Amino acid sequence: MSRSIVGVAEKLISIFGVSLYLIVVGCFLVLTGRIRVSPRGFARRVLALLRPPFKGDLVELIHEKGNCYVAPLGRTLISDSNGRSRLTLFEDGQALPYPHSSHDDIREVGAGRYSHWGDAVFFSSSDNSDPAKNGRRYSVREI
Amino acid sequence: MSQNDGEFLYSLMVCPKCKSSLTRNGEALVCSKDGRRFPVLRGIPRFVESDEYVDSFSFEWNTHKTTQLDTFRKDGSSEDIFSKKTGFKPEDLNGKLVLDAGIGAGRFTDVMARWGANVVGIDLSYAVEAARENFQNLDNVLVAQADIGVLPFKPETFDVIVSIGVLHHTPDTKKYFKTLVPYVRHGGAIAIWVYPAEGDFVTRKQWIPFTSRIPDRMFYEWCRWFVPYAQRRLDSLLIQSIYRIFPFSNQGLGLENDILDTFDGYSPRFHGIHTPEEVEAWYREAGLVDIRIPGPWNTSMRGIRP
Repeated sequence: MSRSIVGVAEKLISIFGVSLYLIVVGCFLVLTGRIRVSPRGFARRVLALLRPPFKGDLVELIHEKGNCYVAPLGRTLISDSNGRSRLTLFEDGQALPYPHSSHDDIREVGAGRYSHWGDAVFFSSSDNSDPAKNGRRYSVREI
Repeated sequence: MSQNDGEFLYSLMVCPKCKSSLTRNGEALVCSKDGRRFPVLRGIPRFVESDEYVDSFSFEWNTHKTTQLDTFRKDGSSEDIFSKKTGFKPEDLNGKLVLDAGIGAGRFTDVMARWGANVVGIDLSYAVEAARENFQNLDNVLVAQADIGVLPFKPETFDVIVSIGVLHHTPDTKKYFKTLVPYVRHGGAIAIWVYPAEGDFVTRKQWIPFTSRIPDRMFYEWCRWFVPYAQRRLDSLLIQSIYRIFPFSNQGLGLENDILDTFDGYSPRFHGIHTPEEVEAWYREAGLVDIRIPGPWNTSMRGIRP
């Protein structure tokens, strides 16, 4: 009993103590410019939470390599290249299964893997067919 | 004696200081020239007296003995990474004598042993305990505790040397790389991967002087709490902002792997970062030829000793 109380206390001390230490070090690293943070990027992320979610169809589908196709979004959003994309890609209304995939995996494995990178979506269809010719509709929505 | 024999692998070891042969005397290997003794503890020859500056690795690999090993994960994730970082295929290593410099728990030795290589895995840390446990039933793997800077082998011993994600944790990445090269036989290959001087690796380097001082157990407890907490909230603005300053692991290989990898990213004493040009220059200076980057990681490099 007392051993388990000691164990929990040790754990809490580790969590709070290390958190506090890391917060102090993090502030030091940012304030001294050792780690650079962009105030513009932060403001963009705040604004992204306030505006209505983006949605639209992918129309210009260009073959990139292997199973990978690229479609421009025509809109600058927070993507996996500068944060964490909130975009979900749908194939005929069905959400594709693997967001935030590596581009190599999209090219080599495909099967519905995709990545929102910069102002474009790098993606593969669920069965690795050509999305420009398979007759399915590809749409995106911020969630 | 066939190469698929633990005794053969044992016979490769020599005194790290004078390169004289070693004889087995009870639970020790004894230098035939000066009588220096190297104990064999729990089946592992020991050529160092402690884990020196790599205590965090002793801790992490004995805590996560099997987390990254394909054999235990029942997937091919490490094999995939190994192939992409070295460009080796099973037929390149089958029957070859390979040195895994910095074996850890044996993530990549597991791949090479499956491919039919005879692997000698060395590590300065007590990760060798975990590796030995993982491979104790394999005749084609030998684990030893040794320093890459003072290896217990004769020059030109190995057909292939691999060192993936290790050399940047030594006090001098280039110097330790150059130390390895003479141990490859002529016509043999050496493949390494070191941290690139870009992205999250640059950010982590700023943290290292501070985070490496946190006692391992305390920092590990913190990682065990923070990583699952953060991963459940990846869409929150706060966590995204923290990620920019303190990048934590999110590799898609399971939570245990991400806890391990976050600890691994911030706890070591040394954290070198290097450009592809730098790495290529080391290969050229070492006289290696047919130098190439085999995959998508631009600081993974492979070359042949002519």
